[in-house]
Amino acid sequence: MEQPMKSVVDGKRIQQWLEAQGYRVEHHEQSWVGLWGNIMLDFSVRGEHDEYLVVRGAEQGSHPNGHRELLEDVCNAWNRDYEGPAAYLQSSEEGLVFRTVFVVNCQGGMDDDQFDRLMKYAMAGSDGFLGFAQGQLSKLRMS
Amino acid sequence: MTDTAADMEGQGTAGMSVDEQLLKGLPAPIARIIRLLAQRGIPSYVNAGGGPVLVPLVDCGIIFVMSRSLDFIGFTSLWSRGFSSARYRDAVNACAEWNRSVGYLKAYATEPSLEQNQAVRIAGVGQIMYDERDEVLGQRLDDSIYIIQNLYAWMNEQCPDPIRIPNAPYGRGA
Repeated sequence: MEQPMKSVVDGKRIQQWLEAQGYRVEHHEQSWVGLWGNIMLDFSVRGEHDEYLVVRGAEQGSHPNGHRELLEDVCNAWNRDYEGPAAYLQSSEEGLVFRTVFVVNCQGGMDDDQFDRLMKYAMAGSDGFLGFAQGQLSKLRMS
Repeated sequence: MTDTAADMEGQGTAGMSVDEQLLKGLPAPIARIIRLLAQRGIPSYVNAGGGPVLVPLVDCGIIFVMSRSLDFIGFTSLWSRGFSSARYRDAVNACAEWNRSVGYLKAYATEPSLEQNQAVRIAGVGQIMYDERDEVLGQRLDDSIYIIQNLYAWMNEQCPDPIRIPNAPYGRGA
């Protein structure tokens, strides 16, 4: 059986995929950036040979600096128990912000079906983490 | 882990022999991973049911697992060193710093458990896309191992005084 054609994963392919889904994105410093609900996603291709698809997420909003340990624990629990992006905290002028990063080696390219599933998986992961974090923080507030 | 699929005598050499008879009983994607690792001189183990592929390295152990859809190969690695439970926060902070500044692999600290003699372990997890081309899948496997080794080299620099865990990376039960 003939194998589907494998194409390189690059910025143009990311852009085409995002536009085909009907998403509005902007090009900014070699990345495609858009806002999905409460999270800003940034798609790019990185690495010495442009071999990594990198999807970064940033929560819109912030948490008090005094909650750093608690928020670090939420990130560590996600990283330990769930598949998908790594979660971490970033300091900002407003406070602490949840961030995610998902990296996959795309060396050798992939077919359209694989790429479609990979992009959807990457997007769902960031959203999944924020849902998890909100759930954890709600539980802690109630206890 | 009951069966050894790769010949340990070849460890550390560029290419090892693989027992093709043993591979025959395994799911084809698992057999491919074992064969590609053996070509790189990396010994691996799998149980008779064709479960995860275990790769024991000097600084860590790695488990490769095929996703149900056979699209992804997930990998989990466990550092052969650890921290006392009193240093759980140090371990979490080191992982957070890695995820923030490097991030090509997701790092986390385990919770102290009786199973681990209350030690806190550091793990790195990620995924690669499966590919039917040997050259491409081999490169992706190489890259995952390289990044895992980078993580633990980095941890060694950040935390120069961890406890050496006396058991194999995945413990006696592995």
